[in-house]
Amino acid sequence: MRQFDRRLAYHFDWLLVALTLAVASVGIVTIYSATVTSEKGSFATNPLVIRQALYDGIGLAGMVAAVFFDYRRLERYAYLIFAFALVMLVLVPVMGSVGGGARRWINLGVVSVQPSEMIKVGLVVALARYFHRARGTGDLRLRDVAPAFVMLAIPAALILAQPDLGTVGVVTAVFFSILFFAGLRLRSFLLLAIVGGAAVPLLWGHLKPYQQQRVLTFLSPEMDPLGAGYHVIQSKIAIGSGMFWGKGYLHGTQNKLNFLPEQHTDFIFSVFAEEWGYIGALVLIVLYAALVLRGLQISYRAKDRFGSLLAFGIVAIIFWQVVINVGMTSGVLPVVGIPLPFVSYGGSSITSMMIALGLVINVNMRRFTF
Amino acid sequence: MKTRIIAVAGGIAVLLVMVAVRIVHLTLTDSPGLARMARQQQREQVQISAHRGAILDRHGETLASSVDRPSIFLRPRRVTDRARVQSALATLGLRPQQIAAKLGSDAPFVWLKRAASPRQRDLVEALKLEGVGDLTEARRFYPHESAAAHVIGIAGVDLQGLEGVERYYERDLRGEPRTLEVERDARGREILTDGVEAPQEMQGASVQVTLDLGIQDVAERALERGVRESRARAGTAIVLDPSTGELLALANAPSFDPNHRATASFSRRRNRAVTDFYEPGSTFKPLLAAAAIEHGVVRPAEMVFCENGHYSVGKWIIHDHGSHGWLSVAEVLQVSSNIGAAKIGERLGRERFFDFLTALEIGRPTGIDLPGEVGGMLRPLSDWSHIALITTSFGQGVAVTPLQMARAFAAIANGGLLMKPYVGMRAVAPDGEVVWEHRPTVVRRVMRPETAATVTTMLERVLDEGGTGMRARVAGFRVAGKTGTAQKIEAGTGRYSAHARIASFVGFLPAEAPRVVILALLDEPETSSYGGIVAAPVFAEIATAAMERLGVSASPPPPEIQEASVAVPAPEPPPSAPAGMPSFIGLSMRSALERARDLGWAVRVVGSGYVASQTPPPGASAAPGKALTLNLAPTSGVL
Repeated sequence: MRQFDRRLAYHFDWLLVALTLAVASVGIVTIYSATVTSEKGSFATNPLVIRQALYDGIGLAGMVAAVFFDYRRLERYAYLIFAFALVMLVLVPVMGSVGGGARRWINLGVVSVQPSEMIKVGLVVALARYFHRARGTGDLRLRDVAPAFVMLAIPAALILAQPDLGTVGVVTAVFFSILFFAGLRLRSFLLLAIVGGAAVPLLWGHLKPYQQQRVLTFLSPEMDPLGAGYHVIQSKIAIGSGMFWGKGYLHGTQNKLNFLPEQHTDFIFSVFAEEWGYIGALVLIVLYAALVLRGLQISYRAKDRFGSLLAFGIVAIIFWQVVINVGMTSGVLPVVGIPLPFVSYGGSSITSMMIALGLVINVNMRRFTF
Repeated sequence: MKTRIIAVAGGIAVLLVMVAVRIVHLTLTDSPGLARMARQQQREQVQISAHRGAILDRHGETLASSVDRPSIFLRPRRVTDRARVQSALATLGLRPQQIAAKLGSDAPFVWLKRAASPRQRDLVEALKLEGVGDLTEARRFYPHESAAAHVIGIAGVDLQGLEGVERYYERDLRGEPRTLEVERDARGREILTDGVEAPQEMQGASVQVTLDLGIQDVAERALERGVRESRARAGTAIVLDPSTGELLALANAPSFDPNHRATASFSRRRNRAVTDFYEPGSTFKPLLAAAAIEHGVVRPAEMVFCENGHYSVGKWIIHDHGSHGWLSVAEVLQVSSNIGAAKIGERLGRERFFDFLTALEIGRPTGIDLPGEVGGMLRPLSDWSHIALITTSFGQGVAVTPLQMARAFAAIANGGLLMKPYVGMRAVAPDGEVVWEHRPTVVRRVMRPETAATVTTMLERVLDEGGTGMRARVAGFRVAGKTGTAQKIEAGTGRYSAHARIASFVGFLPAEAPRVVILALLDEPETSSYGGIVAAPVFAEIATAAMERLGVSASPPPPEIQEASVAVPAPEPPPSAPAGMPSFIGLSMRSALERARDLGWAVRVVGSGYVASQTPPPGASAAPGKALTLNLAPTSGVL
């Protein structure tokens, strides 16, 4: 058992932890800049910084806890976990609290949790289990994956009802990534694309006016610079005016003068890019790329198909959130409320993503064990 | 599955690269435009007006200054704790309903208390109430109240100059309003960042004027008394330095206190010395005499027949106050004979007289640095009929401002130079830098020094026994001057009024080296209409005080007042050595050098052209070593 432990420790992925900590540090530092005013005092007394540090700490603890059992035991509880996350999601309309025009949080007394953050990981675990049992690569037919579609549809419908278009987008993107990875036939993808394209007008009718507005705004933000397009334009100005070297830490004027919306949550990338410029933004993207590619490597090397799917799915969550968040702040994707993983302020996102990364490390550690 | 993971890795790489490319696009390619947009929305130009500069008299006495008053304001929408604000502001002496009304106001900004006391301001600041603030407002204060009110003028509520020096030198006093770039947040609130000076540190320049508050005070008191005692409608007194054109005092009655703008009617605020014109009457005769002597038409001792008081010119009959037979030119001035003046005018001829008056700029604005100056009227030469020549000779049918008249006499007093009168001496920026400084400006030479000296000698006789100006005498000083009593033209009819007169006296002293020209004018005096009776005492009172104030020592007994000396004026005016420096100003280099050599001075010459200034200045007590510096400038240039 001791020997076993030592081998485990040997394969503990310090790189992944280091990358996570690096990105989380960027988060704390930028949250300070995004929220500091003369009244809020110094770094150590800034309440949002303290809480984010607390979330990072809890997340790290969860990450470590997530490596202390064999991930294969997770397979047995996969659907249970998924079901639990679903129950939480169902509870949102019943006892959730409203923020920003949508009902997304459940107040648990001390903290509020956002079940839509948990369901991402829950879905990945469930899909990993499902496709683990499914047939081999490249010849999955649509009828083979139909139950998986049901697994997507239930949470997607619930989240859409909150409404939280962004999370639905992330979940869907993750779902299709796993579908591709698990081995759905390319022919089937083509069919799905055609059906999906046909469904767009139908879906459009079901969107709330403000959601339709966002899509239209995305298509041409300059049409309405003071209204719907305001956030996108301000965000682009922030990133662009940072130029090569940035305006310097705590000197981002777009940020300081409150031209940016949601500075410490969804638009934190704009704050960061304004102050650290092209160089800073590039470094952050490289950190994410390293994190994602390292995760893919772990997925590639994983001992079994469940571990591979699990690691892949988690990496997909991180990847898509980064792409959608940076895409929306830089004006190439519509504005949807997606946090930048490990950087945006928010406990649910931080802790669930860190625990998920713990699972990836878990997969890596046990690739040589039987 | 292994191949798909490689495909996925590739796909991920491609997407991340696309994101990176997008960032490159924004931060490098589009960034200049986006940075400009950022500046545009975040920066705003705000003008902060400077603290208005003071106005000082020639000795540095404050005539106008800006006083800071704290004012307390409320931004109702920012108030967080209404109850606290309500109770705290009761200390400002505002009634609860008032405060409640202001708190409930929709306006973003309301005044709570303007011109609050510093203690109230400190109180409000100490409470640090959200939504309540104070700022410093400036108010214009005139410490000497009505003194020199017409020259200083008035600044309005927003401290903009409305009249007088306040208006004329508005740009200097106001200072450059600084344009500050302030940051503006997304709600449009201005955020003053670092590097902003407090408004108190940004001052307009102070303007020092040529007025001497001591002389000004006397002029005002004497004029006020003259107006009161003669029961005149209004009056004007001017004191000029003849050698420089500096305005030493300017008084108008009735006057006003610029601290109480609301009570000052327009007619009280009018600076009659430059905005009103009148017919100068007999005070014009010395100008005629100067022209006639300059052109060699008459000599002072030359006799003129005065027709025993009635002189028919065509259908007109010219009257004198008395009946005179043969009078010398000097006596014509002394007794102020209209007929004598008419005859001298006839000898001079309209063209030479007109040219002389034009050179003196009669009927044209003097160009003094005060707003609202008018020209008056000198009829064009083509309109000069024979009768026009005659009436103009004794100052009718011509209109001048009091300032023009004083300036014309200054030209006689200073040896023949027409000076540009001025009141602004210098403007000094808060850092001590001199923004501008005015030096005396010679407009042109209008008569030879000899002519001026001759006329001066004749004008001294006006105050002699038998002259009209005896009441203008100043103990211990030789005074030259001329009385004037002019009929007023009735506004409605355009005819001469039967009884309304303007009585005036213009003169200068000490006659041997004049330091001041003084004009005293009373509009429609009732006790007597004669300048020699009502205006001369005003002149004498101002003159006495001015001599004392300027520390001028009494004149030596006049060298010769016999007819002979008047009759044959010396080619050079008497050097009057004990009185001080002779004036070389306006002479050509050659004549100045000749004259200086004759007087035994060692001369240093700077520049070329005509003498513009000299050290020691004219009238100064003679310098040891007899060293004289003459500064020359091309023609009658500006210094």
